[in-house]
Amino acid sequence: MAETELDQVSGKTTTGHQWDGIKELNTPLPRWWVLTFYATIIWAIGYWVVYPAWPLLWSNTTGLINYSSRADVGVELANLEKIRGDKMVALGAASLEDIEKDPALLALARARGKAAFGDNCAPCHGSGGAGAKGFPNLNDDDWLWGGSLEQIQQTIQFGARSGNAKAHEGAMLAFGKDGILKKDEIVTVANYVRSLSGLPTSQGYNAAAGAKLFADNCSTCHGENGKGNQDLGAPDLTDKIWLYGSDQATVIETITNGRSGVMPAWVGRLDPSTIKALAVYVHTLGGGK
Amino acid sequence: MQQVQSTKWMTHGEAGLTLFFTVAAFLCAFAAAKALDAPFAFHASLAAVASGAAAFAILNRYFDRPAELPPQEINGKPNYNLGPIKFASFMAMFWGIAGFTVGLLIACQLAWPWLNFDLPWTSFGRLRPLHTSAVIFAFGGNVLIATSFYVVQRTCRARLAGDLAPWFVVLGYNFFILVAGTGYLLGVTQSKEYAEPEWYSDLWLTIVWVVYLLVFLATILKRKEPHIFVANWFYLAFIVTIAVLHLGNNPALPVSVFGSKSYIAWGGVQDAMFQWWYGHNAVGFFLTAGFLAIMYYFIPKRAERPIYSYRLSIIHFWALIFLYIWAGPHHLHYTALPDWAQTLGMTFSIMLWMPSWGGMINGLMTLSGAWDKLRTDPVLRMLVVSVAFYGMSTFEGPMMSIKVVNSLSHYTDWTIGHVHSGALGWVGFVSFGALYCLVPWLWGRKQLYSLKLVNWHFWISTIGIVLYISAMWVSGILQGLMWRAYTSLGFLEYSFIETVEAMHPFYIIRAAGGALFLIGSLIMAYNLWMTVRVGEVEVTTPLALQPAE
Amino acid sequence: MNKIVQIDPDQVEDVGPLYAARKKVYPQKVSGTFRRIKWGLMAFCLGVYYFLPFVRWNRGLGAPDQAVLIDLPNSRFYFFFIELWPQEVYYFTGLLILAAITLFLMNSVGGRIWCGYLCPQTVWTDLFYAVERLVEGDRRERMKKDASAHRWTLERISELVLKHSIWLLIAWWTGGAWVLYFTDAPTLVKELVTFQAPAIAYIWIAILTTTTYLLAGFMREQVCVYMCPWPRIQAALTDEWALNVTYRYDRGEKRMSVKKANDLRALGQHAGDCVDCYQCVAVCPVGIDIRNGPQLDCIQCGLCIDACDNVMKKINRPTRLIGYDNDINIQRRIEGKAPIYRIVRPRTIIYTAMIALVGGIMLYTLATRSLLDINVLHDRNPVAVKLSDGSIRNAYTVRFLNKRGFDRVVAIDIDGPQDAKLHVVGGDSITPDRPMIVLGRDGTTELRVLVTAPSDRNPEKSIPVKFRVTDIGLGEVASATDNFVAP
Repeated sequence: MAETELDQVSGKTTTGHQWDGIKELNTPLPRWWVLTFYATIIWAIGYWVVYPAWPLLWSNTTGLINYSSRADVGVELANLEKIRGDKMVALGAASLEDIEKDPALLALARARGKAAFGDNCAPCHGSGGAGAKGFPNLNDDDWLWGGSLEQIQQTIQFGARSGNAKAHEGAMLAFGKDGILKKDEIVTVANYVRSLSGLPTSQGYNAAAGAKLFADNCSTCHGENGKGNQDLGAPDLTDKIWLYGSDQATVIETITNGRSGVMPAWVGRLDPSTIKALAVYVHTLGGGK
Repeated sequence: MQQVQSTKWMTHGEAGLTLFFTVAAFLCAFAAAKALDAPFAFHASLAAVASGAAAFAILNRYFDRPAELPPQEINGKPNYNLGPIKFASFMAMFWGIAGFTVGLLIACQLAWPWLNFDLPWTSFGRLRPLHTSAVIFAFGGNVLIATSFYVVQRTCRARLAGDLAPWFVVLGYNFFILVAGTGYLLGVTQSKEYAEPEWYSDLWLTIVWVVYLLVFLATILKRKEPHIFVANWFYLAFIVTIAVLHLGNNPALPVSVFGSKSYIAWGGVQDAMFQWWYGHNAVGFFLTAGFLAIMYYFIPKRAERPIYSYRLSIIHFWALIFLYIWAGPHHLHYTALPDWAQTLGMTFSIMLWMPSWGGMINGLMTLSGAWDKLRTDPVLRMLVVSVAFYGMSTFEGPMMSIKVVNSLSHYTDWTIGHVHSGALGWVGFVSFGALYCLVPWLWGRKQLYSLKLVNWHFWISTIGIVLYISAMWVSGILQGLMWRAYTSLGFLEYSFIETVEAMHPFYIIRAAGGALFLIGSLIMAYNLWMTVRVGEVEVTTPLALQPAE
Repeated sequence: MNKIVQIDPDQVEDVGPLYAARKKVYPQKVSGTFRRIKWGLMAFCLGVYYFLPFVRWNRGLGAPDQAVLIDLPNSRFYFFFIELWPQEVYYFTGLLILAAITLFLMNSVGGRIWCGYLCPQTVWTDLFYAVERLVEGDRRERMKKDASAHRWTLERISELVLKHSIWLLIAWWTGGAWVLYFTDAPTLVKELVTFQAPAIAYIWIAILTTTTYLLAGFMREQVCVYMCPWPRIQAALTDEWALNVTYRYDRGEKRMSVKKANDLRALGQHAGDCVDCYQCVAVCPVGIDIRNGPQLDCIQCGLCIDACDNVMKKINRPTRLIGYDNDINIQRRIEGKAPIYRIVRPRTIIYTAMIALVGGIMLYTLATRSLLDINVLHDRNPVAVKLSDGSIRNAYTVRFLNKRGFDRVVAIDIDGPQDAKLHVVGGDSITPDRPMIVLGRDGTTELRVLVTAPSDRNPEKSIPVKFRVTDIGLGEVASATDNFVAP
């Protein structure tokens, strides 16, 4: 019923349909459009032949070149190792001190150390080594077992009270639980210990008694003036850093029940150069001696 | 009002909906009382009040209306139903300005973080989905509903099907927007991009959308034209596919029917795949097919020219519909998604190039006989530029889906630039053009209040887009380059925060562009408002006539 | 004005093919002012494109000496005296904005100047047409050869082989020049010739050879008509004052023969100057008739002006029957008023001002661009450390950016916390209070820096700390501010 009409502007005819005054021309498709469309389809088919493309029942077509993005990652990682190859060899051979003096080796060790630290150490020490109650902050300058490069490496390798033959041993005794000191004596010595770092003491505290109790029971490990002993892992009681807490109750608890935190040995679980990198990383967090 | 007829009955729709909303009001009030979390209590109360109001409104309308429903035809001419369209057009403008404003705010937050105000409700994480949903679903959705209801009536020469149903669609849809939007601010989200609303909003949207589909289909079925107009194919594809996508991406199990939290049925990479199958086709069918429908009606109408090629419209329609649905995996290149799926996503995206351009060619070549009109008609100008931006985005899109390009562009601001060249340039401008046409037609005005203001809107927004996309493109390149910079030992040269610092100037330029775009839309809102308020009434329109008998 | 007319349905039996080939255009040779301008611009553009990679620029030892170089592996961009780092690519944003506004300005002054004279699609298509004309002859000959029934003669085939070979050669050279911008040109040329260049170079050359060959040899004006967004955008941006290549129908109509026109003029009556010789159509590279008014297809190359001028000279009529003009002036002339040209008007003034503003900002930032920079990143875990003596230490990762082409020694100072001490990890500085380090040329140096300060002197929770780096030799200074935080 509809009339086909001629559009004078384009010279094309209309289809004869009309909706609300809108008509349609019967213009053929531009050939370039059709050809380009075909070209993209052919290209896609070619791509499917070469690359993994179509799902099958239990697997998928793998394509002619056996491409896999996972294999690509492997290649890239291998390339990375190649780039770092010489320097990694140098890292393994260099002494800890030399690593810190060579900016390139230092950067490499710190980067490797940071990754290894995140994987292995962060659960106890925190992602940046900030520590927590009972787990030392590795950024400060207070060290239980020594803060030199070699000492840090030693601690990482063998741990503390880890069961390894070369591990750091020695523990804080449970003076209360084992009946070595009476309750009021523990309070007195606790007051004394707090006074060493300038913390306030409780009322009626007998300073002379505290000093005596300390000299008799504690000075063997912590030293006569309370400066500690890194061979035994006995902390310096005169500084401002407290592993478990400095308030009266915590100090009393420490003296009563003793302390013996564990650090695992990493030798055998991590390769020597990673331990080296870790030692450098921890040392350069800021507190290294 | 005097009742002439002796018998006046409630229609099935009126009775059913009154009952439905009354029951719903009680159920929602009950749910609000039993709610496990505050946002759910708020939403349930909101729904209770809205349901009560809906029931009252239906009854109120029943008592006021004459016994007969509005006729299908008056004097042999279709009696078009324009009320719901007017409402949706108004809401489109409202949500548009709201969405652009929030967009500007979050753009500024990226440049000046103190604008987060340290409050949870105004933090970037909650405002960003508010922005995307407001512009895509609230602004875009209302434009689509308004234009589709208008176009389907005019091109079928038939009154919109249903009596209350069209009102149910527009009001129900905007209630969904309200619940979704306030939910984001209160922290209610299922954390799927562009599908953030929680289970109860999703359920409500499903009901509304099915009614939308039925209204649209029923109107087409009772058409007076022998053929279905091309715009209606596109609208139909948009409505049907969005329904399928919505259901596919949102199956979730609520923790409790009295709580807002739910868990999605899909897990791991399947969830990601569903999400981007949905996400990409939201672009494909919401932002492309739906707006192509607008183009197919409003450009020939405004230019008073026949559509360039009927054959092209058929072929590019079916090619587009068939190919688009496959392209989603290109959002997941170099992820846990299997290589074969990535291949398919990429190759289908490339094959989409020409079908997408088919729409551009049809839109632009339609103008070939009306080229002189561009100098005098700023509305046509807007429509033309929108199609040009559509062409650019649909070239850029396939290019970015190529894996090598994607490895540089993905996760960078280039993607943001790409999306906004499509969103501001294509979707925004074609919507503005359509609204500039639609408002005078709906309200029976001879013309717009001021074409000069349209011109200002066009220019300010265009410069805004130029600033926005050039800043984001280059910022994307910067990010791509800085993220990929390695030291000689293969360690990353820059930390992420350094790239953020380097992007500061781009963020300022982008915010300036967004501000210009917002100013343009405010000018538009004023212009449309004045058109409705003081515009000269077109006397010849039969729509203003009262029924003769 | 109804442009659609009823026709007899019987006349349209054939609805035509599903798709149609392009109607081949056979532009005729033409000479004149605009043709000469186009030759000149073509020579300039191609010359710049092909030879720029070989221009050298001395940047000192170890730095690339190519004047224009995009060094992607090292993320550096070199443009004569400018060297850009990735964090400085905001200049490109400026360039993009400048380019956009310049296009707007060109458009409002003279229409599609870009399309007609400067766009690569136009330049290369023009070049390919020149080759076609050289090998196959001018318009008539080419049309005759294509239409001939016996076209596959040996002579014809050799002609076509020659034409396509030259096209491919040009296309190949185009792709070849492109890759030279990304690495040292002379080295790459050597490698390309000896087949030792990286595969990616050959791939890019292949891609660009193909696209150039297809776009300039076959797609031609279809790119402008169907694909490119600019023709549509520019049509939306233009205004009624812009000068466009225009057929002055006030002068040209009504078309008639020279003789008839002379007769009419002798009688003192108006006669159109257009003699309907179709020269403007014959020379048009997009195959349109300019006399039909403004059209999307017209790229405004001005060749029809030359063609028409030549005819007008021959028939002793004033030239520029086709010329740069606008509708306003045509209307004014019809009304008997003098034409007015408003090149300077609010629109062009605003564009020029914007160009000046953006360009000014870019020049300023370029001139004041710092060649020494410092980024400071505060440790996040722990934010602060208490030391055994009670003092506070914060750790920072500091990156120094040395954008000069030589190594230099810098000193680091801080301002902010009272009595603060600065320590560089791994640095053995001779001056412990004011660490000095060596920054490698054209690169970044990352260091871990510790700041320690007594807590009693710094009671606040957070104190701004300014890191300052000073080049000992040149005196250049850069600084960055962060915070010094108490635990």
